[in-house]
Amino acid sequence: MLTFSNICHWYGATVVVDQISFQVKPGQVVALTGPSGSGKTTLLHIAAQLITPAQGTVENQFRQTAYMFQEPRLLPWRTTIDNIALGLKARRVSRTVRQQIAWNLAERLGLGAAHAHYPHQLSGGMRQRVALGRALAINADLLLMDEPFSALDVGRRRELQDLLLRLLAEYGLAVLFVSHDLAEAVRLGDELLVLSSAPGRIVYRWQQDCPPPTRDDRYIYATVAALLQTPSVMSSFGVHNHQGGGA
Amino acid sequence: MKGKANNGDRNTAWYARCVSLAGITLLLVLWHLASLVYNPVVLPSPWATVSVLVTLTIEGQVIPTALITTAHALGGFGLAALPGSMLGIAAGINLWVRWLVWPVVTIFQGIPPIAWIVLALLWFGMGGGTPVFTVAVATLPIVFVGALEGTRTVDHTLLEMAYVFRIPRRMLISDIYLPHLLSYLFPVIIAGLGIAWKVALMAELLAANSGIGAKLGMARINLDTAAAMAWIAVAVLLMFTFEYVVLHPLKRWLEPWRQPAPLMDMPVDRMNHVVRSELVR
Repeated sequence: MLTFSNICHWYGATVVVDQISFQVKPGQVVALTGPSGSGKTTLLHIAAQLITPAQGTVENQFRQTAYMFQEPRLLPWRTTIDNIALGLKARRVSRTVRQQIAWNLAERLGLGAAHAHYPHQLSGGMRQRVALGRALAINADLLLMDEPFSALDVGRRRELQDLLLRLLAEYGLAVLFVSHDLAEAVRLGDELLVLSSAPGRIVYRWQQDCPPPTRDDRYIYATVAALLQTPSVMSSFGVHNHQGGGA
Repeated sequence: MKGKANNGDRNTAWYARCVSLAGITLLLVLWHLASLVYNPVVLPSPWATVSVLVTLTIEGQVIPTALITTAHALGGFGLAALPGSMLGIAAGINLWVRWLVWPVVTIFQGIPPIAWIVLALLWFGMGGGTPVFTVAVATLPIVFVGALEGTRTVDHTLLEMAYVFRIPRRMLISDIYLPHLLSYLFPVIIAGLGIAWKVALMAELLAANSGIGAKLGMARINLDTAAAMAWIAVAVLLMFTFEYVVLHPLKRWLEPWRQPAPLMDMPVDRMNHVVRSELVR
């Protein structure tokens, strides 16, 4: 369980996040969503212990935490296999074992043909798959993701989301992910937390009952539309209802 | 489709080689034509130069002389490379070291090699010590700046990634700092060696009795222009041989990830990525 209790953080005089409390339970996917400047990435950095919050406490009871950044952040001088195996090498897993694990993951991620390629020889989507492989390789039970698909085109993004959902179901991972894309949040998340813009406060929480495989496009569009009708979500994203008011 | 692209690349490479060869041929033709106009003492023909070169080789002069110059250049550069890179790394890590050392190195960089030769001649006299010392002091600042920049520019986003993946300190050095530093040092080493050969030759000419530079000095005294041309040819051949026989294979071995290779699929995706990184910059 990952528990945020009354987290506040500020840079200088600017309060970035204010009074944030939530939990990520084992196997649960929590989406943090909100406009730019709502402190989403700051919260993720706090969860990864890259930042110590100015106030409040974070408790991480997960065994192993992995992170996927917005950019792949692969080592340019390592091949696909060695990049996937990086976290295993850090954990002193023997070379043959970690190569075997990385190979299997590369196959699962559709990177079999690119196993000996260096990052600059891969496309953006493939690089992000390698980053996903690196996160999965360490057998984490919590995955933190910071808009990892935002640099990809629609088709590639969709492909990776599907792949991620399949792998999440298989590995039973808990996920805390950040996205400014409501459709992505609805597609992947079991629970949605909507943050207001500066300072970031949780203005809306929503638990969906619909399991991932049954979330088809119709459902997602309808849900996003419904969310955008909710006053707190509307004001958070700065959406104005053009039909309302005058009509 | 892939095969077609490769073929295109191969054709381009072939054309490039032909055009380069044509450039060298043109130079030789012009040299030959000019040698017809001028006295052989002013400008001997390419053939005369080649025949002197062949004679010198048969006499067994070329290889030992080339080896002496190589020893001067590599010896001096070797003396500079280790302290230069160590100091550069220290200055990249520690601000105090940087503030202390950088001005001194800048002063050294400002001193022309010819001035060092004069000092070295006074300190070491005629002999091998002078070229080795001059090469060392002339190349040390280059290595220092390369190592300093390499250490300072380690990608902090990779270090952040290393932190969240709990990568231990030892691996941080072997898997992140060293490969990055090497990628900075390699071009520096190539540039530094180029300078090392030239400075070694100059120091030998002015202050030594062995090596290609000293042979050039002898040729000048004897007004033997063909021999001078032959020794210049030896120096050029030596530098090229070293670059293509030693440095390039070494680079391919140490930095396979720098080699161009066919990109894999998804051009649109990649384009997005390129555009994005441009915007970020």
